[in-house]
Amino acid sequence: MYLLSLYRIFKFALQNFGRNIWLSIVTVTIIVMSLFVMTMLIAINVVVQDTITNLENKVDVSVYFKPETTSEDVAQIKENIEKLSTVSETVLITKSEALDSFKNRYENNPIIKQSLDELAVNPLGDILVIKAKNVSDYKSILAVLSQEELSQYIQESDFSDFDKIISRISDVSEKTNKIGIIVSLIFIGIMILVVFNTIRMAIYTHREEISIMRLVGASSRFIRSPFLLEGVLYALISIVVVVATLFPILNAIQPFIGSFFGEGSLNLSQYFQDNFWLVFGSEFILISILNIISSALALRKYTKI
Amino acid sequence: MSYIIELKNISRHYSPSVRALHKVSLQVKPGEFVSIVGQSGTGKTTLLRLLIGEERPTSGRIIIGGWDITDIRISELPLLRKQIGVVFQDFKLLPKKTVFENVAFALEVSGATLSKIHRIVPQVLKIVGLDGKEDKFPHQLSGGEKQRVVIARSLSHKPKILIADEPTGNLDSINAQGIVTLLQKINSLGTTVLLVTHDREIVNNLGKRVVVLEGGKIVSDKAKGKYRL
Repeated sequence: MYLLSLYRIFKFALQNFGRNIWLSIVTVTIIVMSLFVMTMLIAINVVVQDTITNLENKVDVSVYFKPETTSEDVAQIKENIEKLSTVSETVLITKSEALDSFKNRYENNPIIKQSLDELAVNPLGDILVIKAKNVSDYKSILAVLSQEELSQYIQESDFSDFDKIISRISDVSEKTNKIGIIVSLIFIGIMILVVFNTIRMAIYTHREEISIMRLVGASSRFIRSPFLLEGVLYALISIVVVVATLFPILNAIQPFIGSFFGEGSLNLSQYFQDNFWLVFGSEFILISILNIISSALALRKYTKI
Repeated sequence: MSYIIELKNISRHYSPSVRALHKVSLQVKPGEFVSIVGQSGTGKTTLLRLLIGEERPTSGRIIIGGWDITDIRISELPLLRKQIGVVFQDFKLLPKKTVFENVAFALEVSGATLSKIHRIVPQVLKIVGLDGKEDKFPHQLSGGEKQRVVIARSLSHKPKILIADEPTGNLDSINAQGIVTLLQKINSLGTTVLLVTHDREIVNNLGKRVVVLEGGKIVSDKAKGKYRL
């Protein structure tokens, strides 16, 4: 009996879909467009997030020690800095490495080369490169470096300019995230309304049929189930269409993304392949639930008689 | 005496000034053929809607086959409608289903097995003279054929009562007579038939019980009546 009911629900759902093919095509098209908007929002958020992360990764603080600061003092300061919970990584460039690097950089400049040769001692100090876990953490690290007791070791203890740049990056990154979330929520809201009304319209066109089913003795469950299943079918077909068209489009636009954001920028096609089930599975579940809720609400009105 | 349909002082008021039915009492015995006649707006359709639970009475009681359906719950409507076959003037066929599927649908909703459906549907289609048209869609049929499909559908689950609301309203006289003959045939097999019609000739030729409604009240109820207004 249960299997028979299940068979009939599937049969009626498929019949409804096939025999109202234009209505089905229109409904699926609207859902596909909504899913495209949603997927593009995900893509834009991913690209923006990747760009911000790249930018943040390029930020670090270089602390230039005075030439007379001993390597023991530098090691001690390095150790203390590493103990800070906000620091992710430190790299020490010794004064000799700094000199080699300087010489290499200016090897074609005879004036600088001659000046260095005239100096008997290395005029450069050690350099400590500090990377924070988050851009917003630089503020507290710079505050530590600006402390009075460190000024005797550090060449330049005024980090106010650097502080401004990092604050700006941090601010832009936070605002971009907020704007991304707001824009995504607005678009998802619009998309939900569009899909909701599309399904309601589809059910509305069946209202006469539903009342006839009711009059010949069909229970609400018997009427409702095929329509709910049809909603899931719409979602399934839409997601297949989106997947089938999205990857060729992404592959086509990837060179433009690469040239716009530079080499090594995110490969969107690869991102969607890596997160296939997460992205498209979530979209399928979301659209299915939305279709089921829209259908159930619309059907309630017509199954009362 | 037990009645298959019993209306006790039924009133249906849409507002204090709009009274579709007022204190109507009617008893119908099993196997009877009753014609309900009256001008437009006299409450005939309201009466039928009350019988199939599409509307609730403002007061009074409705009993169908011993079952008091006055305050019937929505969840009980399918059970009631499986006992009453309804034939409408505007057919009310499922447009995207074939003749066979339309008739089978009434059986499917009651959970009939596939083998039962394949046994009963051809039988009822033969009774109404539609064998060979199983695969046609409603838009491919004439008015008379559509009405026959509706009758076949309402017969498929062997209802105790068949209610026909202006079944000949959209048909020419030849098709109309064919439908009435079919209703008589169904009645002769033991099904109680309630025929609502405007057609004077049909009612007068039947020579069966006639109930006349006027202003929401029964003004005449004769065992072998004529259509007189």
